[in-house]
Amino acid sequence: MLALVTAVALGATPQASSARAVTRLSATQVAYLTHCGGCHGIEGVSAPGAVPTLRGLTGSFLCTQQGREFIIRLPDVGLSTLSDRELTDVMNFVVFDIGAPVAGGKPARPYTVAEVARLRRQPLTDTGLTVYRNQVVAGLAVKCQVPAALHVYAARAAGTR
Amino acid sequence: MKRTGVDNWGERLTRRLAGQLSRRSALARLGAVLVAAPAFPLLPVQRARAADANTGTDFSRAAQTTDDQACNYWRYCGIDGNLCSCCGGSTHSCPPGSQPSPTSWIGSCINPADQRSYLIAYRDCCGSSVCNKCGCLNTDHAMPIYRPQANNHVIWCIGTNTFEYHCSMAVLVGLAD
Amino acid sequence: MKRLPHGAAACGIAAALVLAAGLAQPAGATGPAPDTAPPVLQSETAGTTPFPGLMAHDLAYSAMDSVGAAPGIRIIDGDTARLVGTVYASQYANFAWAADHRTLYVSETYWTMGNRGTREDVLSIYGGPTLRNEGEITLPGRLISDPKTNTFALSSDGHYAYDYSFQPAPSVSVIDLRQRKLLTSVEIPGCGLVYPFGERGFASLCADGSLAVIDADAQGRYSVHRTKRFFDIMDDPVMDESIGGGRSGLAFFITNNGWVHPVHLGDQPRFDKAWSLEQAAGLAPATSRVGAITWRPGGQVFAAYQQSTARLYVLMHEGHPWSSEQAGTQVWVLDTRQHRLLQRFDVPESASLVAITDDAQPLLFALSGSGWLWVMNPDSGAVLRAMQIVTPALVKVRGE
Repeated sequence: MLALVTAVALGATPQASSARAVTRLSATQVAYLTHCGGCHGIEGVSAPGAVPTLRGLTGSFLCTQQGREFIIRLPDVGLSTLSDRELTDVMNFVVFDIGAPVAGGKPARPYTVAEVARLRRQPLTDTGLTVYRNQVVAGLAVKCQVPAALHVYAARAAGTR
Repeated sequence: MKRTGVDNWGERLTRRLAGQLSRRSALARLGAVLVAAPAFPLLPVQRARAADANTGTDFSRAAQTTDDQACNYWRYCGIDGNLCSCCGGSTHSCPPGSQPSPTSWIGSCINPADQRSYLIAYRDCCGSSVCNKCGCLNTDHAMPIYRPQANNHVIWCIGTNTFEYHCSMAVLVGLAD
Repeated sequence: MKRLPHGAAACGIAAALVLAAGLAQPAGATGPAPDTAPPVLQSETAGTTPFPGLMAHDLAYSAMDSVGAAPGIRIIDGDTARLVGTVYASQYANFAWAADHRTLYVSETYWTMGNRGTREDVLSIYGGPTLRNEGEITLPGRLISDPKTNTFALSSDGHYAYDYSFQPAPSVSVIDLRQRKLLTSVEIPGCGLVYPFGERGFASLCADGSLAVIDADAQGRYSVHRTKRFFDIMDDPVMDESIGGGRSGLAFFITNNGWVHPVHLGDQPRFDKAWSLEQAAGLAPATSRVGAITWRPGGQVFAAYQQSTARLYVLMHEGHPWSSEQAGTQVWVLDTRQHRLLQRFDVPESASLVAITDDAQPLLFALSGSGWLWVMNPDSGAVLRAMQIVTPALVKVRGE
């Protein structure tokens, strides 16, 4: 479940007596939801096969330098209208709260604002993103014990060589 | 908009009235259809943020909180299509015969009762013939199709096994504070 | 058995009589019977009225998914307000005419079981003397949305078609129409729509307020690069139904608040200074401030461009910010060179689509979501004729 969520107690209104509490969202969660959550899922799980799952998987990208840089350089990430600070908070939320860091490879350090500001200036806006993504994941799978769900992308990279 | 049909009285009305009226206000003028109050868990009214003429958006200033079968219901600030509340479902439940899509766009609407902003997921119900009731098109902060994160014209059935549009929900995600 | 006359209905009785006549020769006779014409039983034979091509005053429009009316593309003669012909299309289809104005390409999606089953994305082709189906080209996918003009377009010489796909990863299918096959699929991360230029290039609008330029090198390899941001996406986005470059390559990207960005499309796009529709009319520019009611562009296909006069015809309404789909109550006619309002006409009721022909005596078309087509004089605004139509989605005229 999303961390940092606090449920708000209900007021004493008749309609509210049988309803659930309203999730209180932080600014970072709001940014994730409005920029990414529609397709990637409110909790990082969405349409299998059509939209890459984030939940439990994004932490794996910190395993290699290439993976770490890749997810910031994604156009919908790096070229979003969020500020450097906001984007850094969102991406740390995506890899640490929605995702889960994995064993092996580089230590899972949070992104810094300076790092994100630098990487956003090299967005992957050209065609060929899918092939590159598969290569990045193949690199992750070599270095770390990535979850099984990522193996399909690594396998596609092997297929295109 | 998803011109998936306006129910009969709505269509006669739009033909009769002068074109200046938006569909939203036309439906509102017909008088509220009596429905049970929506089971939206209301927060205690925040008196700290007094509702005055300078708060909210153009949509929220004209919105209401009691009738979820009217286009100016506060959650519908960015909805496009038929209201699932009029189709046998609700703001967060698909009518039987259809299924909710895992993808959607997520906007935010202001609840006039407390003047606070809530995230709303405009999830489509897919698979069944178009509902053809309560057609609404609200575009508060809606983005063009090349910014799909906030676009209400994409048929949000990606992730289901169908693209047959039935109706649109307005699912509460949470309080954006 | 003698062949029935071309186009004759295969009436069982007529066939039986012909057969009987054929059997009337004596058994064992050598050679065919003397040539006897079959009895004339039909005063008229039925064929299909020939289609002369999309004419200068024709309007082709596709139907919105609307209960009570099948989707499809209907061709109207603007001089008589009568139907010329109809071509079938799926829900959520888009269409474009070949350079010869006789071949019609339809980008559409079907499912084998109607609402489910195997999905088939195709580019259907209609042509020949009677707009008959000539088969289809399989597409790798396409965007399913309320129809938008700029999701499907042809290169100006008609050699290539570009179809915007959204899986939801965005890409563009490039189709070679002469070879009638898919050439390639080009990823356009973070961008959408297609505005063709040159031989095989196109531009797409991007979610961060920039323009993507996509073109192929001499070997046919496509690459994508982006310009700087030229509009503020979160406050005042460029509308989807902005006007593409056509033959001249000059596009008009128009924002919610009425700012017109003229852009010369090409590998290095050239951005002219933006100008305001409202200012052209002597008003203050529109803003997104809450409560800022003023004249604003709006509707579905809200603008049309007349190449030979460089005039923009825009549907305008008085409304709040974020009302870019509100139907227009007026058509504004603007000179895009002088940034000046020339005329403003009231439309009957309100209109969501507009089109303008480009010929010696042009016609202005205004269409409403309630199912009316008004044919108007573009100089005086007079309504020449009106016609009830099905709920419209997209419109095309012959243009340049």
